[in-house]
Amino acid sequence: MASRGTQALHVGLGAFSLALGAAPLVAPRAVARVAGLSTRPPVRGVLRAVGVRELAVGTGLLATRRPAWLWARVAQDVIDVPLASVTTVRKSGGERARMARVTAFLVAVTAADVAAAIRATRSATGAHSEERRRQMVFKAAVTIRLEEAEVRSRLPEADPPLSTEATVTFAPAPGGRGTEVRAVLDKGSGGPVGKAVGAVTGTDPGRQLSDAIRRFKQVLETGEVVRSEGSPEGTSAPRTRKQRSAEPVGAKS
Amino acid sequence: MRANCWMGRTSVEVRDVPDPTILNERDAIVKITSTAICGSDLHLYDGFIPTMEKGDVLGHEFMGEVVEVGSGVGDLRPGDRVVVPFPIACGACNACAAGLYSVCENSNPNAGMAEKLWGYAGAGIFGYSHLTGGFAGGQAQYARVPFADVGPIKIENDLPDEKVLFLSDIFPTGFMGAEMCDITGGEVIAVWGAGPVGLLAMASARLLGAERVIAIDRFDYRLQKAAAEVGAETIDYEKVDVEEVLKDLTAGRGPDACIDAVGMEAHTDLAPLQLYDRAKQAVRAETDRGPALRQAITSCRNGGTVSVIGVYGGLMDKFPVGSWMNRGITMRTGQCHVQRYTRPLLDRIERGEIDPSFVISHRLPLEEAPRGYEIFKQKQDECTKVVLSA
Repeated sequence: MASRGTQALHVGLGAFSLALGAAPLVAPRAVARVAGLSTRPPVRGVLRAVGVRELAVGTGLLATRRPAWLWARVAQDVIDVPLASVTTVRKSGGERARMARVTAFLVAVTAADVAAAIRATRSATGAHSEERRRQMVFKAAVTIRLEEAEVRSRLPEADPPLSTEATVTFAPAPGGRGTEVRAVLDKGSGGPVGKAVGAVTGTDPGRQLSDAIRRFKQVLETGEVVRSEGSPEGTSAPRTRKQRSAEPVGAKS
Repeated sequence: MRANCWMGRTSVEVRDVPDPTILNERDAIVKITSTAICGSDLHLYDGFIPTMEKGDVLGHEFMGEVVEVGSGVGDLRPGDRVVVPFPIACGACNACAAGLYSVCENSNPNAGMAEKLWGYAGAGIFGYSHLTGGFAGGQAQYARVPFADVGPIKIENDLPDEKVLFLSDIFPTGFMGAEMCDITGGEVIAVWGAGPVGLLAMASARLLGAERVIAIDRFDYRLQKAAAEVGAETIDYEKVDVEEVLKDLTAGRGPDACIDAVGMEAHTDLAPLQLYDRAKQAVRAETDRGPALRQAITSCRNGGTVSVIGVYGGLMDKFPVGSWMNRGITMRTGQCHVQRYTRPLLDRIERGEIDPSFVISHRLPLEEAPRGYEIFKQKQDECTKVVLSA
């Protein structure tokens, strides 16, 4: 997620782009005069194009929080500085001074844009890594219709074990419905690639955690892990993806 | 042993499969004497329920004799004659404690699969796809029955199989459909679908005190059965405008409650609507065709109840949400919590209040199951219910 600072940058610079873009479209001659540019039709055409471009970038800035739009502003600054010098009317003394002021203004804007873009990019990358970290924290929960003391004491019966990696917490369920059991597994490393590979090979820690907590509930409430012909090992994520056909398992040979 | 297996869309086959063995301590093995083909088996047959696997043993309505019990089953022993409820329920979780057996929290090992489609999972069900657990069914010579200490009901008299077999599903399902209408006496109840479940819902509505029962279907022989067996007034929806006739029959009020005993493969005489639903279903843009449920809602009286016992799988379009909301209609649904009803309904059968075998039209040996499916699906030979003897 974008920070509040990044949001303010986007809104401020977006509005600035829209204003800067609207001016040459509405009054190209006036803009040319203020900037010390020629008022000839080709220059007015270039100014209009610059206006359209500013409007596009301004809209992008306001509509999204992607740092890419801040970098787009930097890119147009890089074009604008030489463009201004090419389109200046005469290289007379007064004009040269005006030209210097315009160039100084454009360079200042460029510097501000570069700073803003770098800052936003840093914060977005930071947010991504925070998001990535959050994705590696897995949670699963069940409600077991037994008293909390019994559920706690029987945690070692979990098959597969729950407590080795996961943090398990207990709370009484409202309305006398037994005990709420929550398991949290922090797999801080591994990254999205590891998770994707896990999802295919059936070692997705989130699914394993949810299987484990379901099996724990089955053992406590019914006495054992429930088996079907399609899932003879009982609840298991890899088995869910590749079911055995539901015909009797038959005598073991 | 021999078992009727799902081999693909509109293909079932009686094959040799291994005999079942005890997998859990609370299992029993039942030698099946009678089993039936359910209307909801046709949804599997037609390929509308996802997660079927080639070779799955079908069947969730069965009864027979206990031949083996696991060490955790205290109250059954070999030789006991039992009817087995179609939902598998542990009896120990909060759902079972509340009598909501068909949403048992422990009996579906594939709950994670069902949660993706439905949000939360229902109970395991015999022979009814892998979403509901991947359990082998009872259209076979033997079946493994999990939680045998909770579900099966012992039949300790000499009532023939036919009179008690339907305690496994369709009688409790029809009864729950009527019970959800909150009948206190004097009601007019309309029932969409005069198949076995619809007929038993009508009969149950009568048992509970409904004054008039109206059957809606398009097969004349089924409507005649509804009239003859439960004294229903009948509407053939292909011949008349159902909503108009219902309005007329109830002097402008509408039925007090409407029961949808049709489900996801509903049919309508309105060709464009039928085409719309069929096309969306074919491209998987909806899983459920809705004309029966839509009409049950728009036909119901203001403040009335719509009771849904026909099976739906996923998503339906054009749900008449405005009619439902603005007119204060209550919708009640559920796979039947069979375990809640077996004892009281067996008592009613024993007292002679009802004989659910009136719905049976065909009796075939298990070996002829494929023919039974086809006759039932095509409604050939005035078929209403096929019972297979194993």
